[in-house]
Amino acid sequence: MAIVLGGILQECVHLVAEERTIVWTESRLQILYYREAMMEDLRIPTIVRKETVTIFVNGKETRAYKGETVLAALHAAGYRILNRSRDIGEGRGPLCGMGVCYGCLVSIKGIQNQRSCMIEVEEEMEITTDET
Amino acid sequence: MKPKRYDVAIVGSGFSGIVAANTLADHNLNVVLLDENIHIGGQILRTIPEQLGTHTVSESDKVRKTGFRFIENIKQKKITVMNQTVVLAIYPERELLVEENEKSVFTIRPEVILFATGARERFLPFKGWTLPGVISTGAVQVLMKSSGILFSKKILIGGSGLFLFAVAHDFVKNGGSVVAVLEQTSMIAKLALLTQVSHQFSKLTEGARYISKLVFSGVPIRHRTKIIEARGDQYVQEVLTAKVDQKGAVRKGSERIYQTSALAIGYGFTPNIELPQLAGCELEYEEGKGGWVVKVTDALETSVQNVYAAGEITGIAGALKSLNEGVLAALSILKKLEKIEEREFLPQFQRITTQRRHHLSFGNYFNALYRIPDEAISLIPDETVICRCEDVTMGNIKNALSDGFQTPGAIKRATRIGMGRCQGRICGSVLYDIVAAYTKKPGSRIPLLSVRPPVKPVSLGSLVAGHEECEANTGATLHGGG
Repeated sequence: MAIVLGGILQECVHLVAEERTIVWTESRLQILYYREAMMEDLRIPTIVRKETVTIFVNGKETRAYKGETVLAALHAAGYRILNRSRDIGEGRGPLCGMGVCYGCLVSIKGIQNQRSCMIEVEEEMEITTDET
Repeated sequence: MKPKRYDVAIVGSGFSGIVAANTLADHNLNVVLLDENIHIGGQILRTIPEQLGTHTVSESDKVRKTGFRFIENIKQKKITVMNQTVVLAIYPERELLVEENEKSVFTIRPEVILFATGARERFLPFKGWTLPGVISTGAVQVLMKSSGILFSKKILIGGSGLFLFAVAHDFVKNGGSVVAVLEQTSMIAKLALLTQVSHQFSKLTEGARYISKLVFSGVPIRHRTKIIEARGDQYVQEVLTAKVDQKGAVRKGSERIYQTSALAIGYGFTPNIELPQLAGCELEYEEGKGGWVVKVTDALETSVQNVYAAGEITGIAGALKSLNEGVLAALSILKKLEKIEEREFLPQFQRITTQRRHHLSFGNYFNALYRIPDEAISLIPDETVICRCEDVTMGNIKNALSDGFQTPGAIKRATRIGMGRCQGRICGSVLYDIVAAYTKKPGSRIPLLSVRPPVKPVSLGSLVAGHEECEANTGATLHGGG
């Protein structure tokens, strides 16, 4: 009896774990698809830009321009979810864009919870978001 | 570490701040200008930074051009400018604890403080407003103006207030396309307003110019239309809207769905009063001024000696009033510090005060027009998140209210609303409105959430760095407890 119950329990745990993996992979894929779709050029063409800088977002080499905020550079590269809400873990992005709402927090140069709208990009800057 | 001494510390470098700094520096006062942002100028005087590049077709109106001239002047003058500097606390004797560049923490002790902390946007939460892709109209403007980026190729704009049209106008000008502008307020109310503020003709024509340009570029403008819900799996994908009647109730059958991955929202502005509140300045509630504002004398002095306030924090009324109050505050401070004679002071003071009265009356009508009605607050569905930082919903707040927690402070302790990283800066004004609507009390009777240092989150690293510097300079050690 106990063995059967144990077996069922194990099976259940396995199923739940598997389900999670599938959900995780799906959401990950969705985010990747979305970013691909968002990769259209959002930089206003009538602005003549000067100097490019290379930043690393979650390890991925990304182009940005000197003078842009980290938030702007992330947004232009298609990053929409920057962090997760505290209680229910929903993906969140910026709201106010001017340092009030703390919705654009990311990790910059190894320091967590930085307001990406209040900091300009720098060459070789490493940024980590909390997408998945 | 010994506090740095200045004659005047100006907190906030928007219109009021830069105008006041210029005048004060002209009279050989030692001025420090503190601002949290990367560049000075506040929200209105944002521009593409020099190191980023140049805008080939940018055009500025007269007011903004004036502002940019003041910024240029500041660079020429002997004014200490501290960018990316956050005021964390204010102690007795006007001692400011500030953090510069997320690195060092130190104190400043000026003879006079001028608060010119401006305003932030306010919101009317709806289901799904937390989805990525829903952003404030202000943020859309900031991304365009400071970084040269469109939030999206296509955007839906909704909420209430003239600012929606200004943002839509700039968005189209920069090559974006606006799906529609949805405005909660009715067209008739707006037209009725025209007759009352006809003496402010220049401001009205500016508004009319925005709207007519939008109409000509084919942007649909829908009045008395409200955002009901933003939907999507992880990101916003569609937005449900509906027509509302005069009381804010949805008219059945008027629902409409917009397919969009970007929704910009804005519902007017609320003053940034946290620092003056912490400094012990008396506040007052006036609907015509946009809610809770800093109470000032005609000379813009607050209830605390040698502490002044100027700009949006004394009443929401726009850039011209801020400019005007910047001049007025500088004049009053010069008088207080005995830098100008009475006969020089009085005629200027009278002239500026008259102008100020006009600006305030203009603001009065606007704030009344765009006031969020109580009915709109009571209609927020229970599952709507109100506090974005702590995921506190309308239902949680209603439960707290029915459990007997009847003040914002009590509801905060019961639900954690306003305890997150933004410290209630986004949800606070909504919470006040909810409490007012449910307890049927006027806004003036709703006690504000208290403000405690640090006013904004600070890393322990910065505090420790400041302390080490302190130890090195004075040999003192920091004692815990007490």
